[in-house]
Amino acid sequence: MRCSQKWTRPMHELLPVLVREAGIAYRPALAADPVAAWMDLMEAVEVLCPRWPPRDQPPRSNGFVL
Amino acid sequence: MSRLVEQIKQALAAFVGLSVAPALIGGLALAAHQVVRATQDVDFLADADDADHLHAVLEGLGYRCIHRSEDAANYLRGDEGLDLLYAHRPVARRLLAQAQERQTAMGRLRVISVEGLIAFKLQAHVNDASRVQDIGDIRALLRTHRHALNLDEVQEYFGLFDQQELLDALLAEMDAPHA
Repeated sequence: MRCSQKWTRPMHELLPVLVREAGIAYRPALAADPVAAWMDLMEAVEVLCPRWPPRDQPPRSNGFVL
Repeated sequence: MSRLVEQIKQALAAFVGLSVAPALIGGLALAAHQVVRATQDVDFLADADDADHLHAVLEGLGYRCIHRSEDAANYLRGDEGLDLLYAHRPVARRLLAQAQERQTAMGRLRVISVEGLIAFKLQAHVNDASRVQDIGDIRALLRTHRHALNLDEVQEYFGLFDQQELLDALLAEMDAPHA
C-alpha cells in the first residue's frame, strides 16, 4: 500500500495537532516485588484484552546459530 | 483483584459526574486493542474543560499533582501514577468524543480508537523523535488491525503531521514478504 501525499503544509503551521506536551517524565518507585507487579499488570491486561491476540509465526530460517 | 485493576476501577468510579468521561490512551489502551506491552502507565484523555474538576477528584483520591499544564497533568500516589492529556484542540476533542465504551470488570471504560491511538503515538513521536517505542507501537497497531483500520483517517493524521513518508514505509513493511 502507498499513500498519496495530499497534505503539504509546513509542520510549524500545524503543530501541535493534539497536544503540545504529555507531561513530565517521572518514574514511580519500583515495586518491592517485581513479580507481583508483573502479575498486577497482566491482570489489568486480561481485563482490557480478554481475547488474547494470535501469536506471531516464528521466523523460519536455516541461518540460526544459537 | 490486582492493585492496578483497583486503581483503574477507582478512577473510573471517580470520573462519574464529569461532563465527558475520560478515555483510556497510552500503553494500556494498546492492550485494549490487542497490542500487549509491559507498561503500568495509566493514561487518560480528558476534556480540558474538566481539568479543574479532575484535579479536585484526583486529589480527593490521594493523588499528588506533580505537573499540570494546559495540555497535560501527572499525578502520583505512592508508587501509582496517573497521567492526563487534555483535549482542547479540535482533533483531540473529536477523538475523545468518538472513544468506544466497553463494559469491563473495572467498570464502564471508554477507550480511544485504534486510529486515535495511532494519532497520539504519532504526536508523541513528532514531539520527541527519540521516543522510538512510539513507532514500534504504531507498527504493531497497523499490523494487528490492518484489515479493519480506517486507513483514510490514519492517512489524515500522518498528513497533519507531514509524516506521509513514514506511513508509506510502515505500510510497505507490512506488505513485504517476510512480514
